[in-house]
Amino acid sequence: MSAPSASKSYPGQVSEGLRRWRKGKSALVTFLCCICAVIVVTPLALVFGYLVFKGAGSLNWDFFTKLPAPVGEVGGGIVHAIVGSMILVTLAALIGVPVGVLGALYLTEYSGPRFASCVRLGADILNGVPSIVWGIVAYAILVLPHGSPFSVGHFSAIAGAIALAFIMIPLILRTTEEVLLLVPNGYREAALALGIARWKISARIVAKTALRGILTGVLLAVARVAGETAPLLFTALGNSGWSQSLKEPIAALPLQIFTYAISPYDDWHRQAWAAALVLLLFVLGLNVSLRFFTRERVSAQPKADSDKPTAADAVVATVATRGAAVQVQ
Amino acid sequence: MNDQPAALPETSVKATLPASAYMNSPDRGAPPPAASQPKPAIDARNVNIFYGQKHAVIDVTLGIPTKSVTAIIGPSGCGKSTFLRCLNRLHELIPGSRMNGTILLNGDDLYAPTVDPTVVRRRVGMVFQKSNPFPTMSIADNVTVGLRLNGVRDRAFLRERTEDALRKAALWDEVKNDLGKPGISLSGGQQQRLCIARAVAVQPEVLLMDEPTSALDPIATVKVEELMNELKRNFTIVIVTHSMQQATRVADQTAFFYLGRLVEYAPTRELFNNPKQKQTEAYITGRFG
Repeated sequence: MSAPSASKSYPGQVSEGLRRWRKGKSALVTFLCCICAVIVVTPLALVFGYLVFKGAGSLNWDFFTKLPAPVGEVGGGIVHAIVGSMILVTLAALIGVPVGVLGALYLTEYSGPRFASCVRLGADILNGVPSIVWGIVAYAILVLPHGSPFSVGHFSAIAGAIALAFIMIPLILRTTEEVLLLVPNGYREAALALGIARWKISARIVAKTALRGILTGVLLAVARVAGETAPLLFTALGNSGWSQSLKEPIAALPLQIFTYAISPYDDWHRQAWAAALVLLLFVLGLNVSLRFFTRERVSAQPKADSDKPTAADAVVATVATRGAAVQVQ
Repeated sequence: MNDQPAALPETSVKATLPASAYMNSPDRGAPPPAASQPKPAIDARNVNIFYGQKHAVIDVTLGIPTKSVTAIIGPSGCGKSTFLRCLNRLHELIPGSRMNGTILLNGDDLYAPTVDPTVVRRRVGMVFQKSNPFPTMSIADNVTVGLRLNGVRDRAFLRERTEDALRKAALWDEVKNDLGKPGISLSGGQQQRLCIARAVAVQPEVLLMDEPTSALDPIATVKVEELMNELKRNFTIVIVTHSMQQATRVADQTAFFYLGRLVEYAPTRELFNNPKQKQTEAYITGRFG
């Protein structure tokens, strides 16, 4: 603005042409960002659509209730793999949830900041360890005969569950820790000032306040390991029939998909698609029901400041964000 | 003030307080035996508090009379909240904090090595600046949480104590039909009175209040101040406040802290009308702080 122009001018005024150029640039970049946002969800729609297209036709009562038919025969089901997956995930959760949640409670409520940051770093590194590495480690320690004093000596459900549990633990530890840190310190102080013992405050007040967030983290971890294949290849191995004991190989949905997909039989390919659909529906169902159960109950809304997000809201939001990041991994 | 002997072993705070202790003490709030010179409820002698290198409270000696309201005033950072928090041993949760000196609560040394801080906190309740009812609990559960989590199971007793505490906190009539609703569904002023009820329900001997009305509107503030007048019949109250008007309205005696030191301590009227120290006068006339 060196020379004042004849028309009304003010600082920052630009010519019509420049204004259009800027508007055009802005629209273009906004459009590109929008495309990127759409690209994020497109695979979900594509994968889901394709699985429905390929697999839905094979879903029938037999598929969910029968064992596989003998090789070469058409029909049969994968009930053993569905049940096997449930057993593996349940066992893994029984091991992983207490360790993860109690570990996080220790970090936020008891430990010093230095120890906590060391464990946090360790857990973050573990979260980045590829699951096949967990598989090999579990194989070496739990499956190989004489691999270690804990070795079962052969492929087993226990080894599979432990491998899955070790994937769950750092995940649950980190999500739980973050929601516990979101619990305002005022609650801890108020409880301490009432003369309540420390461990009771941790369990009955702090953990309870963050309960929805903790549950969210746990379910996300469950959803994550339910689809893990690599660690199970080395541990649970898979089974074409019922498993009689936890010390034997056991079938699981991801393993069944793998086995069927690499087989030469058309009918097995068909069933692999159907099994993949079932697995995706399970993970999807877990996520959707999670949203449903963790939504803010209308009746529990505080009257005074219902428009302000509560601590619990923040907790759920954080976990959901983290969870999304985890799912992408 | 110093006429009592050093704490005898049998008068020191019991290491553990059984749940029944709460049930068999109906008249903890009864006035002490009449004496010419009533013993102070809290007797702090040469208290020094440090946060790392910072000397936050310097050599404070202060006797707080029983069944009265004592206000602590002073500019921000003068150590008044720190001093308050060392009366229920809450300050020691901050890493790096140290304290020396003696604090006697009705004759018992709160800092004796055998004393469990948890037990101290049952005898010295606290209300905070920001109301903080537990969000997962109903109104009734918020009131009784201190009892329930210390092992009291008797439902009839808990119900009775709920009503008693809510009445003492002047909240009963407003919430008696909504005891099952979440504590955080109340308004800000009601939440603060709920926190007072929660502190009162464990029947402490002393009630500490750390700027209890600074987050409340004027009407809620008046209610809490009126409440303090009621509560002092049963409890010894120590309040930290930024508002000198509040101190003049509620306090029987007022202590002025400045830069970690106790500058002046006198009956409220005297301290405000006729301050002995220049610093006190400068502060109450608004020349600094």
